Amino acid sequence: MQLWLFAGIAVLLAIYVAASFNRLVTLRYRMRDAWSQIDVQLKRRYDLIPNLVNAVKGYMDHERSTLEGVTRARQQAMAAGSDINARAVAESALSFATSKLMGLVEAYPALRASENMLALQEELASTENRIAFARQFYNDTVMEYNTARGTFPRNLLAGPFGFPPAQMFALDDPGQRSAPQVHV
Amino acid sequence: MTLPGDPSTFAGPASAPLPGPVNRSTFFEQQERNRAATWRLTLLCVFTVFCTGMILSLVLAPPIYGLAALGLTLARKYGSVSPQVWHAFQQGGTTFMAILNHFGNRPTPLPPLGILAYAAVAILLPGMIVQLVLWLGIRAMYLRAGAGGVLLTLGARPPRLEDLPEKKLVDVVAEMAIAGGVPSPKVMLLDSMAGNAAVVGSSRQDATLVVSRRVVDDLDRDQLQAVVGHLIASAGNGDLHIAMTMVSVYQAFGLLDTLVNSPFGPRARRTLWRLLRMTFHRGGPAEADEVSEWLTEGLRNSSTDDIGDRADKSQSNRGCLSTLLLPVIMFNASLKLTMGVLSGLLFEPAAALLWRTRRYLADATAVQLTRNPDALANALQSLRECGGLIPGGKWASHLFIVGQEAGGMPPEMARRIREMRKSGVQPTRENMLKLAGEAMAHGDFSAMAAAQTARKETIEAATGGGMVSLHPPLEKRLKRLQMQGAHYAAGGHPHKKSLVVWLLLLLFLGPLILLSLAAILAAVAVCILLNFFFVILAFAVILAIVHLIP
Repeated sequence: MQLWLFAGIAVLLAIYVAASFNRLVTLRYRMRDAWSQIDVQLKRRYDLIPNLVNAVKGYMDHERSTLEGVTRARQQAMAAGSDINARAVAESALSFATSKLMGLVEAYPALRASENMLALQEELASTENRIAFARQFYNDTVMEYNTARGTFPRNLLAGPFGFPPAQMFALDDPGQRSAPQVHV
Repeated sequence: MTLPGDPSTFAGPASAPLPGPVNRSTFFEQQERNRAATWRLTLLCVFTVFCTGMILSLVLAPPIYGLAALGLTLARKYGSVSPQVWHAFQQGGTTFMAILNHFGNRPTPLPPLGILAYAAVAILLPGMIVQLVLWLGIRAMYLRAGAGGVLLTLGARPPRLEDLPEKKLVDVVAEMAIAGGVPSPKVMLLDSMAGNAAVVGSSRQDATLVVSRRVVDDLDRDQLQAVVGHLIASAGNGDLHIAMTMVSVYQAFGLLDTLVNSPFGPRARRTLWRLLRMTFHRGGPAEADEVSEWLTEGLRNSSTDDIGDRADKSQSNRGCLSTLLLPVIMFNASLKLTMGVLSGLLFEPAAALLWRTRRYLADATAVQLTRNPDALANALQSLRECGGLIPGGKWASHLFIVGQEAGGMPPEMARRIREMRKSGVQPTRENMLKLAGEAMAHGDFSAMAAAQTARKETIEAATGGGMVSLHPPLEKRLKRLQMQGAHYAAGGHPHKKSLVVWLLLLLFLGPLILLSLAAILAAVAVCILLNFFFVILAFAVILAIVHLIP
């Protein structure tokens, strides 16, 4: 009788452990997928920036330093690699540079009104939004994952099973916290 | 990550200092709350459907048993029936007659309780099984077809990417899909004067957003984001599935009605034929919606009744045929009355409550996606002015973001109110009245009257004259958004009725309402009893004739 009881408890425990493990794996994959979504959107911005620079180059010759700043920031961001912190700093520098450029565009009425520029502005605004939302979704999945692996009794299993806490994609530099102003 | 509880993070429109809500909550709390409510209300819905089905079974039982008796008698006369079956059937009949006698002129003792329980199950079970089979069948069919497909046939077109506002819409949809982590839904545009937007389809993977052009024109980017967020959240939360399940209950009632009518009317037969064709040829979603319209037409409108037509015609031609048809007419009428009254009193309110909860949930999820409660609050207010119903039949109106209380405002007035709000002033009731007066003074009266009539007709067509709106009042939705951090001052309705007024109303109207409810239920009961006697009588006559035939 007692043997059966122990066996039953052991089976229930095994089921719980298996379910926990599967849940953590699911959450981790969702998180990785969300992270790759950010990458997709960041690439979209890298592809967009040369178009932007080309479109404004003819109008603003004496703002060469700003244009070069944007190009440099893009190259640095592309070279930042997979470390979350380094990537976050480089990407926010790029955001900052493009928003500065878009601010300058405001001073050129002919440029601002051109159809091509309007489309580019919309494209850029949407891309910035997509990056922000992809980041937000990634952070949500990180939060879910961290909650799942950090709460009792799953926190006893997370370590041995190899589920380290994940890191959010946050902007640490307080000067860059303000959202880029893109006027549509 | 910034939490939405902190109002300083929102770049809302500069507005007059607002009293902060005391009951501040987060969108996570709101989602929890509405998810829990969904469970409770789903249980309530199931319970109401169960009650309706049980009472309908009472109507269905006499003809089912009558047909069984006829079948057995014929089989016994011209073939063979195992004696156990025949005996059991006779035994059942005797028990039933004993119970009836107990309530008759010469009271006899009731059979024991156990037998009574068996009798109750025997009466209710066949009807319940018939209904369950009908419901599961039609649900499976419509889950495949999807919800609201009819909208896609009303001149919906794909967006033109070279047009900047429409490109903006497509971008916003892609952004919100990323925010929700779902595949990007298809987008269709409706060139309509009424601003509204809906999500249609059969699942979250196969969802299509239908947005009217006026939404794209009148709302700014943030508001558009909130509207799209609401729709994507709704699809992502599984509302399409819920909507189809709720509608399938109506459709099952309609199918029952159509089946009963089919031996007597060409209309019902045509409907059944189309339903069959749809099942095997896999007609599109629009076809599904149209068939659904046909199925439920008989429920809503008794004048399109085949049996009624037949009876009227035969009365003028041959009086005796109408007498023969009397049990059929009685059965039909009691079926319709029971379905109409019970679904109107029980199922519809429960379903409306459930659907309203889903709207609040989608609102809270939209706030999670955009992290901007102000945007949704502003969008809802804009839709109150520029919005309106898009005529799309009964089976699509609930899929829209705002319901029938939106719209009906002349464009000029909507524009002025929007400007007023942009400058940071909440339009009060007095302001609105003044604007309405000005609009009346300048506007063309006949055009406005025509617009009002058209609006009323659309509402009638879209809601089928239902008692309860499937959308929560906008004011309440805005209040909940305010709890989630939106800057919104309840301006429009300063006249709140006090508790005393409500109590007095309840005191006077309460008994009246109760009385009318009792009268309606009594009518249903009488109808069921009459149906019972007429059908039994008819089958008794038929059985006697069968016995007389050598």
